[in-house]
Amino acid sequence: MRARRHGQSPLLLLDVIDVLKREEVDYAVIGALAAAVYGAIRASADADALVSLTVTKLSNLSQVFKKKGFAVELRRGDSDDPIPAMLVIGDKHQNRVDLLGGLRGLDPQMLARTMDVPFSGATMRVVGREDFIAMKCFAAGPQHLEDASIALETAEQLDLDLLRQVTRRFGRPAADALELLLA
Amino acid sequence: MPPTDIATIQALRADLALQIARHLTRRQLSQVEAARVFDIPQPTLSKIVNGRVDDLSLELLIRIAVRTGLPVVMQTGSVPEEAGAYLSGKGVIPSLAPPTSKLAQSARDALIEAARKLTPEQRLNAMLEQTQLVSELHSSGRRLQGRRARPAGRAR
Repeated sequence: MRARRHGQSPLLLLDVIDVLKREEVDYAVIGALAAAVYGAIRASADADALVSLTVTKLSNLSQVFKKKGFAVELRRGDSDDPIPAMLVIGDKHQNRVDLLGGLRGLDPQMLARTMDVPFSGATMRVVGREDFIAMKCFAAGPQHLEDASIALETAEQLDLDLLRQVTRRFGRPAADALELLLA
Repeated sequence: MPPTDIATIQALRADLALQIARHLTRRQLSQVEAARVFDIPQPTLSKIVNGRVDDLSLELLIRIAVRTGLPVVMQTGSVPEEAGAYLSGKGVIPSLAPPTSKLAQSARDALIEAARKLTPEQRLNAMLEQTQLVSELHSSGRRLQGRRARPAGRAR
């Protein structure tokens, strides 16, 4: 385990990624870590990643994490929740990783558009910029939109067609939020 | 026509109708006024405003968009869910309210500029350091609160 104390959820995420790699589970780092990669650097108590797994497979994966000594809880979303299920993975220092088992509206090709970013002697696959902005437009809280806005401002290259397509998949409100940011 | 083509055209119709309806709302035109000004049958306009566009052709909606002076971009994708109609052109797209404080805005710009100079790895390290610092601050605050609470408890 890499984390030595509280406030090191990004290091716990690296341990989680080691397990995902061994289990050959495709993943993408999202949330505050992805926001940092795209320029919105801020503290966060937890780290988030997304995997594309059914609830059953996520449940099986939770057993693997338990055997490795992680504290794991499988949470299922309500029928109207855009997140079908989530593994909440913790360590003895109260660091926390949320492993989302999917997201309604997400382009399945998103996992093929990740970017490898070196971090603390390892490498993590971070969600692509366009997919990140789309997800933030879908979430649409003030902090999410600020993260999306910064990711747009710091972009040296942006595939606007792809951005609009993947955002539109989340519904018209997400597309409207994006258009506001692009204006 | 394949079902995905039909669904894509339907998605474009719905999006374009929505953009036309919003445009008329922004211009503060009633349906009757808009129908007269743009020479569009009022029942057709009513269908557009209420999103009942199943029997309206995409071509008709494009003609109405042109007639109302609405510049639009239509985009298709690999699945119908990715198809959409968007406004184009400066001054047409509603924008976010400008920041209330120029000082706050300049501070934000400076932070973004600083982040721009870092590599993604450096940004992740900065995020980790910030998280650790905030965690330490949180722990210190809790310890201090605990110390303050204890004497008060004895006094009672």
